[in-house]
Amino acid sequence: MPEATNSMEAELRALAAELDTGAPAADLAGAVLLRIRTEPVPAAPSAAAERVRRARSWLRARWRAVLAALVALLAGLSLAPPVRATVAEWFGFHGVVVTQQPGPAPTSAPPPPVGTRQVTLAQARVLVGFQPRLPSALGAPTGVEVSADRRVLSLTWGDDRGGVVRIDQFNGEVEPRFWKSVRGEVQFADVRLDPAIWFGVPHELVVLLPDGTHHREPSRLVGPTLVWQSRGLTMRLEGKQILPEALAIAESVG
Amino acid sequence: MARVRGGDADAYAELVRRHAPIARRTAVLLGAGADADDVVQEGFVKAYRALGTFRDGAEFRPWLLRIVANEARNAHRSAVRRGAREENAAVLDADLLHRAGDAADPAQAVLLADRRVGLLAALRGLPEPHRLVVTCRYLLDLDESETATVLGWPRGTVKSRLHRALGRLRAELRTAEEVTDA
Repeated sequence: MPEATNSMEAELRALAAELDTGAPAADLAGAVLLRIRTEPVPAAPSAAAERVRRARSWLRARWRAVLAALVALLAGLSLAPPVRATVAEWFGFHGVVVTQQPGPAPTSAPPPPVGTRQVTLAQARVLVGFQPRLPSALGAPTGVEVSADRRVLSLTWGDDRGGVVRIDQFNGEVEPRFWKSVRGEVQFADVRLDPAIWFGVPHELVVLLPDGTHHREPSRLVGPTLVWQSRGLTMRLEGKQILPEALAIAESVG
Repeated sequence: MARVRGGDADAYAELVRRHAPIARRTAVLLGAGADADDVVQEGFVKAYRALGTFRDGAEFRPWLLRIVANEARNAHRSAVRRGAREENAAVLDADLLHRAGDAADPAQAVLLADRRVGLLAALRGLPEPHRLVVTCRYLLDLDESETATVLGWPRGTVKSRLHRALGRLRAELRTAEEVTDA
């Protein structure tokens, strides 16, 4: 049926020729320049970053298969103790998957993005379908945001020294959401009795959508982050440089 | 690209101007609707911020369009959530096709326009991955490898989904014609 295919293709191309999608805004380039004028000049990727990027795009395309292989591997652990060493490089954490990457860690990361007050806490609750959990140590958040897919609630606070603390909350039962590539150490901790992981060095953060086909935005370099679970939610806190300060906030979450 | 990385703002402005039309077309056809201009602007700003991850020697266009496409789909989703539902689809089709009536023979023009509207409606009725792949390949006129980059799929997936999508479109249109003829 190649002819039918060709005629359908021809028809689609003819349709394309007739679709008028309008001209771009006249002042587009000016508006873009205005917005990026304070941004740092983008650097070319280093060879190491390039290797990580390749590994990541490979993973992005095939993460389901990789996860399946990992689950199979974990299931086989009791039978095959020597595999443990390999698997220690990987661990999953309710919605968070950590991969350890070789190579030097980035030395610094920008502060977490500040949320805008797009919705009230009550509206956010309806959107995400769970009760937002607030840390008494920080009071009312100055920014409340819900991700476009309504899965992640982001709360931000600006502190008086100009720093920003950000806590993302999402339902721990969802598919892996935050794919982190970590170079360097991760540390286990406890938030009260709940298990937590502390990423003490800046790392890249890629948000995966549930369909696994693409991420929401270009990957973002994040600073030290504490990730923990509590009563069905996974929470991640950014903006504190040392673990005790992050833990103090995490433990005040109601 | 070297000039942009050297801090030359005009070089980026040039890239923006060169790719603005296809970026806008991508935004509109992937459902950004009234937000298309915002989506395009956001896309270029995000692309600039992400230039550190852009590989030298790679093609800028599909890389940019992937960012714009993701923005457009997010905008579409939040518009649907805000209540601006798909009822705009029919208006949008008429709007997009307002040039289809330019044929010399008015009767011919009506027929042709009907056929195009039918095709657009059938396209809209496809499952999302199929609609995306047809939109990229034919409406945006991207090649297979560009489509793979924009959608973030392996090339084999682009090929197989495109094949299935065309099959479904043909079946849809055939059914529609039978209904009209009866």
